[in-house]
Amino acid sequence: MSGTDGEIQVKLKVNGRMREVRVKPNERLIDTLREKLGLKSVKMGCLTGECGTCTVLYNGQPVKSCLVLTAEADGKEVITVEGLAGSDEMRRITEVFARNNAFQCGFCTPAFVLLAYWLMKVKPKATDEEILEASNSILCRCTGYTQILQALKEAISRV
Amino acid sequence: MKVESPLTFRTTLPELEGYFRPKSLDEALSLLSELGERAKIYAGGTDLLIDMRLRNIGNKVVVDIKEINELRGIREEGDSIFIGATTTIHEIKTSSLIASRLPLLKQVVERFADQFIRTRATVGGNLCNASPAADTPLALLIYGSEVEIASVAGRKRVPIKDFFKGVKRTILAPGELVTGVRVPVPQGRQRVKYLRFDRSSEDLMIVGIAGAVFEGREPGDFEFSLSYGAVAPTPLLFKGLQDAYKRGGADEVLKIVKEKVSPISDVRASKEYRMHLVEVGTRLIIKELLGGV
Repeated sequence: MSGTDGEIQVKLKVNGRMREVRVKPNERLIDTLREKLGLKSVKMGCLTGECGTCTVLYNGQPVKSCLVLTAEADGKEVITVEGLAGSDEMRRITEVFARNNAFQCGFCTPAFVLLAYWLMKVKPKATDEEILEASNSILCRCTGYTQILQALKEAISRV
Repeated sequence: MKVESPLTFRTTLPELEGYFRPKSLDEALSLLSELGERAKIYAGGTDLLIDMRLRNIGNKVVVDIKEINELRGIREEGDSIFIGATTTIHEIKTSSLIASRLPLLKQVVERFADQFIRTRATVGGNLCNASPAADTPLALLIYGSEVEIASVAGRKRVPIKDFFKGVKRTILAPGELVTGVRVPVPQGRQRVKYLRFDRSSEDLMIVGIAGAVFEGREPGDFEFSLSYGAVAPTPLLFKGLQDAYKRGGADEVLKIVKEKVSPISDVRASKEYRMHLVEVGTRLIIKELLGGV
């Protein structure tokens, strides 16, 4: 069994780099990523798992980081938008999001970019329905979604 | 207008006293027995972390049960299917065994929250959180499931209809852990229908209604059950409605149902609107499953 009554030492891989943090039991993954590791693409939205703006890839799965305790993340892998910088996938995502105007205020954009990346990597043959179903996890209050869905479709259309 | 709310608004979680991640069930049970009421069992976190923040539940020791292998997975065992407590809703939704044997459960989890939540949320958590608006109990009640509970004192099985005691209250005592749920597989043909009235599936249901017709051995012989979410302090089950239906159709069934439902008004809907949905939804399900109205 692992665990403690005090602070917990957690080793996790963030954007390809091994990081070690000491956390209190009540620290959430969103807190660690934003406050300890400076990854501000992870947005504080509703903090109740509804808006999806704190989405990160957690062991390869899109997860809302406001509902994960960092203490459990020992040995896990986390990817945020910062970790995609410079990649071929990010170039393509940037292109399709810009071409479709798939953002306005930008607050939900990191989450949708991660979703696009996940679709390209894990579900390159996703149907329109599957893209829509996955998109339901993230709220956008500006675009009305049409442009975002189009960008997501185009992101995987030539993978 | 000042609205009284039991919720506190803060952005961080209250202080907690510790975090433990037992690797085996025995380890978990002795830890839970030692901690008693100080323990908070943590699986998917999709209810617990919201509750801790908004209801200011602090000074607890978190016991993370996700690494206990025997609590996870979907297995056919004789005439029933065992679903481990930390099996995620996503795993249930994508299981071919569930799709073929327990189609009502499949329909219910398809409307459960959203995809990112379903990858984290667990069936054990959905039961133990004991929300009146919980999704999975509606199917599990109709199938006559049993909740499996373990503690250092031993193991027991409890019919799921006896598991819920009230809003956010179950029969679980400190030191007890739900290890899974056992669902009997109907032996004959089944026709099922789930209606979830909501703004969107990531919001809680306004009203949820599940219905099933289990065909018997003789032609014309069948059992008809309905279950309701978010219309009473606990999910409600009505079994053996076929006699009422044969006697007087949907009107007769609704008479029985309306005696038990007691919806409240809240941010999602008024109690009058919920009663309206009970009426409309029940008739729709009866029409689809039994033809008559």
